[in-house]
Amino acid sequence: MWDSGQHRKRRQDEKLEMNKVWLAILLAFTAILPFISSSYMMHIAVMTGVAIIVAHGLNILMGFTGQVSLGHAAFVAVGAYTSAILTSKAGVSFWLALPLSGVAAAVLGLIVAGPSLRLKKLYLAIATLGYAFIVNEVLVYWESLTNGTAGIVVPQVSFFGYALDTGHKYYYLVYTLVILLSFIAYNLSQSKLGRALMAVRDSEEAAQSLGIGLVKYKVLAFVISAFYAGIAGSLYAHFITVIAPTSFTVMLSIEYVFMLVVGGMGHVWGAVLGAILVTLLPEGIRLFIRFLPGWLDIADLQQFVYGLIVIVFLIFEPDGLYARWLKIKAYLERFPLSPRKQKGERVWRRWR
Amino acid sequence: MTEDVNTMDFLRIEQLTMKFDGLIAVSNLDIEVRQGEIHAIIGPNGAGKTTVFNCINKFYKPSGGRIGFKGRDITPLPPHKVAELGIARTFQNLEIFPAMTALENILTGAHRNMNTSILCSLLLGKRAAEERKAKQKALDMLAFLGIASAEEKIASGLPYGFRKLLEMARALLSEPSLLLMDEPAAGLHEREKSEIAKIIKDIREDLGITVLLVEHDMNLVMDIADRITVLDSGVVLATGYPDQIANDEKVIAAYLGTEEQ
Amino acid sequence: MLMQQIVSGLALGSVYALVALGFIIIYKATEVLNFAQGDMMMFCAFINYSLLINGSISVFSTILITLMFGAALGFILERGILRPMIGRPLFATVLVTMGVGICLRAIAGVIWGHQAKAVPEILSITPIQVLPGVPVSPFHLAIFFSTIAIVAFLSVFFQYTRAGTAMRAVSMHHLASFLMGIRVRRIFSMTWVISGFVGALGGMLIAPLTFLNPDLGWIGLNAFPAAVLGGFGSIPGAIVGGLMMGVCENIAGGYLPEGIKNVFAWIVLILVLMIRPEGFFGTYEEKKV
Repeated sequence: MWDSGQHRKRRQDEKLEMNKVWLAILLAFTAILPFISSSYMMHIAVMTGVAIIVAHGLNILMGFTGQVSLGHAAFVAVGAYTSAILTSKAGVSFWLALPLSGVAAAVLGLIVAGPSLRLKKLYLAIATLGYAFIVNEVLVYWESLTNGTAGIVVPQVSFFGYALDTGHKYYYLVYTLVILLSFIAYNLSQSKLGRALMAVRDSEEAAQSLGIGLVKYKVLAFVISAFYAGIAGSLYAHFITVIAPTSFTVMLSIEYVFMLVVGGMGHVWGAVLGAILVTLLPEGIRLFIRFLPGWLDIADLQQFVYGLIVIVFLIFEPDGLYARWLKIKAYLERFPLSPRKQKGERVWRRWR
Repeated sequence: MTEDVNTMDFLRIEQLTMKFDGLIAVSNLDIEVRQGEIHAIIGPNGAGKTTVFNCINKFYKPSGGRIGFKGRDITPLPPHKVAELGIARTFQNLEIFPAMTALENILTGAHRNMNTSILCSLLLGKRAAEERKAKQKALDMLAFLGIASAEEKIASGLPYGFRKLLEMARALLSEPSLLLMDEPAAGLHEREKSEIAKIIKDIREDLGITVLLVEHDMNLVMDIADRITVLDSGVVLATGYPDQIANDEKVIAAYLGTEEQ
Repeated sequence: MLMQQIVSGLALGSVYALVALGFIIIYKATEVLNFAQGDMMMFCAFINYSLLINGSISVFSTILITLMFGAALGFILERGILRPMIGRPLFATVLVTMGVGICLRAIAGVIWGHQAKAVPEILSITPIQVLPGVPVSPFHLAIFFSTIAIVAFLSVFFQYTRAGTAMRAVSMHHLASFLMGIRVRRIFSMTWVISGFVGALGGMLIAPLTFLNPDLGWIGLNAFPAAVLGGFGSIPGAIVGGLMMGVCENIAGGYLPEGIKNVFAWIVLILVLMIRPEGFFGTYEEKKV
């Protein structure tokens, strides 16, 4: 009985302490990153931040609730365009437009959720693909509002008269929101709401038998998920400053799904890791450009490596980077003992 | 007050009929469960036992008849509303949440009794007062069932017996007034069966929860049930106390008799 | 005018039907939705293009070689990449096919570049009067009839051959088929081979209608609505769905405002799914508890 309740409690407390230390280091790194970065690196960092927010949102829908979305770029687009139109055409302040773009995307989420409730698995995937195509087409042809394929020029953001006109300054705005929204996503995963969503994912029958209404929670997942994407869209628009329908293609939607695959679906940290890795990957390949033969198109190479990584991950590491990290951690914790392979741990957690 | 005005009116199934594309699974069924009893439904395979359960908690929409719970007609309600009224259930083929931890599984049972708002969930997470309370209850439940060591384990990796207890604990944490148990002893060996029998009795004695169960194991049923309803081919063959059922000629002929041949 | 739109719609629809057919053959046996179907088609179209440009062999041989290549591509993909995914969650496998599609597109970009290429005409695209008042090009006719031919061939194959019967059995129940001595994995391979073959045919037929570049594979996505309308599981369903989509799209293009044509198929799809979540010819399986 060496593993008494007391002992376990102490071990858990120690773990919590360690987690807090790691978190503090991570936050400190986030805070000082701009001081040691070029503006090019800041550009990438901001884009990564935007991706993290979308990945959190998609994770809530796909990872927690098990509702596939292959059209998440559409929610990002609606957020971006709402913010762009409000600030450039209606003269609304960015600080009001930002939450409103989240709300606009959430409203689209609500509209999309309705007909999606009865759809299962691949039918849902295909339907969401369809919504994304339709949204994109609306952006192209509603020219009076969106300027069509020419796109919209979006004003830059200022904070009490202080212009956030460089990557270094914009970085802090984006990462404040990244931290806030990550915190909320984490809370969700540990709460009644999060458990209800996961219950819907794991067994609709059991969920209902415990008083969890499928309609309510599926719709909620769509709405929250779309809200995240809308916020990210607004941040993206005011950073890039020109948006067009081609910025939000099906390929982008698929990229968001790949982020979750690579990072680890259904884990808050998985979404973060995946978003970082998938955004950095093309930049990493760019580093090798001088070693490559001239006839090789860098864009093709990026795409190829990208496709390959996804395949390799799905075959050899289906639970994503975060799950691998957990396994490494577990191994280190019982290091002197033999690395006993725990049966049943590899269950493709969160996949359904 | 409405709680126990009339123990006879606790769960009342009247003229229940369920058809699937012309195939009649159960027809004109009358079952009445009294508050505080352990009521068993037995019958050969295909008699319609699980169908009755699925009709009570509305996975199936009955083709005809009425189901009343505590004097209220629950026939038109959707499944999660029935659960909210205090009817919980376990499943024949185990419907635990495979990708959640054991603790998360049980905590989900508390869903019905938690008033945490969505905003509160998002902003406070596990620090909300109700969350802490629920977690303590869940931990107590894990300890009570003797599976505390499984707390952080992913449910799908647990042994069958654990998962069975887990599912039961989840249903109990919702503090139901009626618990439907679909074959609680299936797949267990003798010693585990007697443990389950004891747990079911405890559920009724200590927690005051009325139990309606479907079971194949006659010894278990005879041991724990207060009253028994026998189904055969979708109709009620007999209802009564265990000794009545054991001596009922129709039952012996149609069910027990054939098994002993 | 309307008649002409219907006829050219049937030709376009035939191509959709072929892609949808490719989806469904794999889907029926393995329940995997192959997102790379369109890209396999594109790749085969490029192979055909290269052979035609080279010009050292007869047109008939280029067609034959392309079909063989398509089948081989399907085989290699199944053996190399899809086989380790057997038994994994469905959606993970679907994502793998997306990865395959991306890779194929990138490889095609490296080999053939991104400039749109005009494919040499095997048959004339200029319309001739076949029926009075309805001008049809020989190429459109060829598309239509090769689709009918391949469907007829596959129907006979599934209905009357040993392998076809085994494939039907596998599509109904993997374990039961396995227990009856059917080599399920080999059947999976076969479905990919047939899909590759059908894809090669589709690629050769669609390339002359549009320009050829690595993004041609996206047209595969347009066949989704067709496949879903057909209920995602029945071969006649796919054909009817594909033809319907082609005709509807062409008519919509003629009478509806500009923006609607491109997404017309998707609008129809979503409307249909709202009414019947399982498509027109599909069946829905309820989970038993």
